[in-house]
Amino acid sequence: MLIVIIRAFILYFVIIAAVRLMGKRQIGELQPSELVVTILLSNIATLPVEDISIPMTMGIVPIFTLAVIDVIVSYISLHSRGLRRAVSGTAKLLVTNGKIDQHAMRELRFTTDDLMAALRAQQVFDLADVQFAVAETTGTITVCPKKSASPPSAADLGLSPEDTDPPVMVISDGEISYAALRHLGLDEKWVRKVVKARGCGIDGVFIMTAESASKFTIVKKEDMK
Amino acid sequence: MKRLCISIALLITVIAGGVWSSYYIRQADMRIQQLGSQIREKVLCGEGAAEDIDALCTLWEKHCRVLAFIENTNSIADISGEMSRLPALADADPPELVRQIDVICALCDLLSERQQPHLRSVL
Repeated sequence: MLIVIIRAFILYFVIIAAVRLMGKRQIGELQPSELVVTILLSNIATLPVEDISIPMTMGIVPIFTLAVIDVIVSYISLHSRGLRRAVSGTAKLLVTNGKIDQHAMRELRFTTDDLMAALRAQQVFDLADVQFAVAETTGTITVCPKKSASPPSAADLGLSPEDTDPPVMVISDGEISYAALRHLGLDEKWVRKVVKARGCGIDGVFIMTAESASKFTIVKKEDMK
Repeated sequence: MKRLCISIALLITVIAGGVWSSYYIRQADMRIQQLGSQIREKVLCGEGAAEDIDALCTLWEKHCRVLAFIENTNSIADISGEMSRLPALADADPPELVRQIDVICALCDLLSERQQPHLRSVL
């Protein structure tokens, strides 16, 4: 029993290391190759935990081998379009100017219900409103609605609003983010000054977001109010 | 690029470990087979093989400590069980000792073959 606990503990960190090695792509929508690696990893990891007659190395070695293969194949794919197409497939156009490509639908084994559900998920309810819809390699469908069916943009309305970066988190639960300050070109002195002006210390701030030195929002911790 | 370097380093380590384990098991198996033949010859000639049996048991003890990292412990335990019968058989029943040595040699050979990169062991 104790062996199983220790093994589970070790494998937890081994899997985290392997997934970290594979990078952020692994956590988001999965490409076919990444899905295969993820399924294999989860299966391999359970074997030495469940059966203590299997050595741990028989779990750790294939986990890292698969992670390493995934990293190397993805690096080669960066430079080789052919390999990228072979490993991940290609995006396929399903709808062009409101017209469904039935051949592509049959090839992908997509039903009309699948397509309509994907369109509805992207707030498109009429096929005629679709400029084009693409089945991505991750299996999701990206829809580009016709301009006539899209809400007008600021440019369409002849407006020219200022393009600014979104606010960044400067203080989170009393902790200053120096990376955010560097991004804004500000320093700790400025933060302390504006926080003091609001009548509290850094520790008393729950959230502080800022876009610039003059545009910021401070939310105090409730027990400080 | 950092990930690629770590991956290549890991791949080299894993391949080196694999090649080493394969080589180690082959060498240990060759030594076991050699000791097995010596014991067999001595027993058939009516000579005492206690020293060789001791050497075989000691070699297996060392070998199975490393094997525990590579091979399923059930198959190691099977061979260890067969090994433990050797000292008693050496005094009591020499013909049975030869049969026991044959069994041990066959099991060790099978275990070694399983770790070698042949097409049949890969598939």
